[in-house]
Amino acid sequence: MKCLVGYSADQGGCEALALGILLARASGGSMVVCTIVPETWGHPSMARVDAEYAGFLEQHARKTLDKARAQVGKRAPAEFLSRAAPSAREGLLATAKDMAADCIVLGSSRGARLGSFLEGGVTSGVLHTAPLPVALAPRSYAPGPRARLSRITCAVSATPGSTQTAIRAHEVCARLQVPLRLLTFVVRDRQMYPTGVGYQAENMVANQLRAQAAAGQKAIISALPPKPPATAAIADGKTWKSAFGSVPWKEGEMIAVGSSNLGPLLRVFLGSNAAKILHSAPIPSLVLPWQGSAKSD
Amino acid sequence: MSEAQSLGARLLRKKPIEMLVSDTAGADSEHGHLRRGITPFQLTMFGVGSTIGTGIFFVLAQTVPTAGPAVIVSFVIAGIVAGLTALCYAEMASMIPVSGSSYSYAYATLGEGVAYFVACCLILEYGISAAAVAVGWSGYLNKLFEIVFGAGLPAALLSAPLVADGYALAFGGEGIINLPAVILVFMCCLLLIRGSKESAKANAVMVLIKMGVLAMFILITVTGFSASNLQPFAPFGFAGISAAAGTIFFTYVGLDAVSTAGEEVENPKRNLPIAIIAALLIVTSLYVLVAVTALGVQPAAEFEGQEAGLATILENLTGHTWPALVLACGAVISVFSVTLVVLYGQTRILFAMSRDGMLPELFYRVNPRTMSPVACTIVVAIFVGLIAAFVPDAVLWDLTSMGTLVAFMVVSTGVMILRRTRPDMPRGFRVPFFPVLPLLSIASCIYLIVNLNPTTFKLFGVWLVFAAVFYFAYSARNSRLEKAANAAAVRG
Repeated sequence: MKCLVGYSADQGGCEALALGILLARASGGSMVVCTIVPETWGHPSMARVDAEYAGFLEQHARKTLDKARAQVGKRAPAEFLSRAAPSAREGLLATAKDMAADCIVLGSSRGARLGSFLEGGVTSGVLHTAPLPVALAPRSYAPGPRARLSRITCAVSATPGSTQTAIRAHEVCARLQVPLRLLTFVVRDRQMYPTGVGYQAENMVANQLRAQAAAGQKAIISALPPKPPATAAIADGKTWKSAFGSVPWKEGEMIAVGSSNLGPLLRVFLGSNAAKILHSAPIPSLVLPWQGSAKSD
Repeated sequence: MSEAQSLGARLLRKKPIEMLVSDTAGADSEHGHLRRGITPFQLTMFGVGSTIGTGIFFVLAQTVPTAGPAVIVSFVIAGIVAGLTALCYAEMASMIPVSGSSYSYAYATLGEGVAYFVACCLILEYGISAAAVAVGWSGYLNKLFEIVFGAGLPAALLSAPLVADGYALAFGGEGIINLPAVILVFMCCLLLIRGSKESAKANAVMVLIKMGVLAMFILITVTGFSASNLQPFAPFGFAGISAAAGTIFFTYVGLDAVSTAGEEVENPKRNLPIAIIAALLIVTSLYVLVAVTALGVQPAAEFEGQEAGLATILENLTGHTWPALVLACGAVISVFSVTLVVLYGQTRILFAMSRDGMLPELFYRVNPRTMSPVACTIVVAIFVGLIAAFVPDAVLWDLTSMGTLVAFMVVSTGVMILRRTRPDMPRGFRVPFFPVLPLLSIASCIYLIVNLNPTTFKLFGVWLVFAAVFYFAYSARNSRLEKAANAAAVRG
């Protein structure tokens, strides 16, 4: 698997690179570490102002990539390149196409809480338009030097669309040679006060959702090829955060989510539940693009 | 093998308490979820919050013409009946270790037949009262429009095409559809689908708003009080008072929210009756004060057919629009929240019924994206919306009272039966003065019921026949207990 790491000379870049290394090693593939610099006007100006600026950018990009080179070392085969583009989003997508990358790896905005993810401007843009999977490293993500990808957990709901997401996640698991776990979130809604129907009515709804989810997961697993193995779990809690805490997580695990089927075909577009999962996940996540409904039902 | 069980066995089979507990178990971390977290004060506020708003804003227009100024007495009578039933209900609720609706309590203690019957009454209590409240809301919304924009909505869009002539339903009048009521129901439906809930805090705010505007009404109207308006006090005699009390019982619907909290409150033996009686005293005194002051400033003859009554009275009295504006705003906000709560209750009762197999599966499908029972909510909204759009509120109020009274009569009877058949079952709360109090509760329910008008009886009868047919055609065969019994029979 060829991972395109969107690298910048800050902590977010380092975290993305760390995740890129993990993925490249797991798949026995390679990385393309790319830093995007602003496109200069290219017109000769009397005072060569633009050319000087271009020179500065080039130097900056070189320094940045040197830093990345030092971080990667011999841990994974990697190419390093800089690209001038009108925007980081366009630059990354064009590079991904040119280099035939299999996924894009990005870091979190610095606005996120430590250990969780929040998309910045570039990531948001890429997530809205990327035709390929996007891996996201949470803020302050720092796997140990021996960290290995251990498992991919795929968040599914019990809708027909999520079978497709699970199949995609299963393909990724096969390439990375890790087991798959299907996880359905049951986030218990607040109870309404006061009410004549008792003060446990929402638990009744949530327990029904659990039962539905278990049946849905069974159906999805039966639709998957036998290898690599797939298990199922239900994350149940009052908030997304506590739901995450209710299931065990392995060291080196990632969570995969499907993009909303409301977005353009073959593009990544986050639904509201997927966005909540990304923002509450304490582990790296992988956003899989929606494949269209033709094969899903 | 659906014929395995006799009709009697079906009607009497009870839902095991373990099943009830597992149905409402919390997330894994909080199993054994008996967190007794509600204080008596909070519980009283729940009682006040869920009761005020279901009628006091509109009910005078209907009941003053029936009882005259003696409607004050009707409020007290209805309040006493509500208190008696709430106390009986609290004992039944406290026999089950989980908090639920009177349907689920009846299912676990009195059997499927009674539970189904109670549920039919609850549908009237919730579904019909949601429609009734929405209709009343539309009057206040229109009042708000009139004050703010100088003109209200066209009359054709404001009231139902059916009119209650006396109580006989007939087509006529200038209304085509009660549009604001429909819009309100669907707004609440959207909120419920999205999972918006009124929290205990939101309830406290709503209680303040409701009590605030009612207090303002009382304080302003007391300045224009004229005792001569109260003469003659009871032009229609005791019959009028009783008939009005039956309708007014509707305004106490919601007090049962206190009874169901038995498992969540600290020391229920002491705190449940305190909360029920405190809530009842607060609510009844507010109602009586509102009724007395309203009657003090407006002759009884002018109440009939008055929409957004309290706001109009303020406007006429003061000659200014701002007090009416404040009151209309308060009513629009708080009645909105009441509609939300009542609709919520209706969806969850149907949810519980369909989980038990009494209704088709559609009602308990949870949408995995919104994590709420979307289909059930939409079906409820459509039905309630249709009723609110096309049926006049007078009929709805009486029907709500009918459903609630019958349900509580059954519950009170059940409490007495269970003392005899299950004397050893643990009870967190016991009705004081047994058996006098339950007997009084039953007698008072019957008294209010017989005074309701004949149209209500007809509608209630039609509803029960429909429900019974559905039970024997569907529910009895599809009950979760039927399947369990059949499985046991096959094993055995």
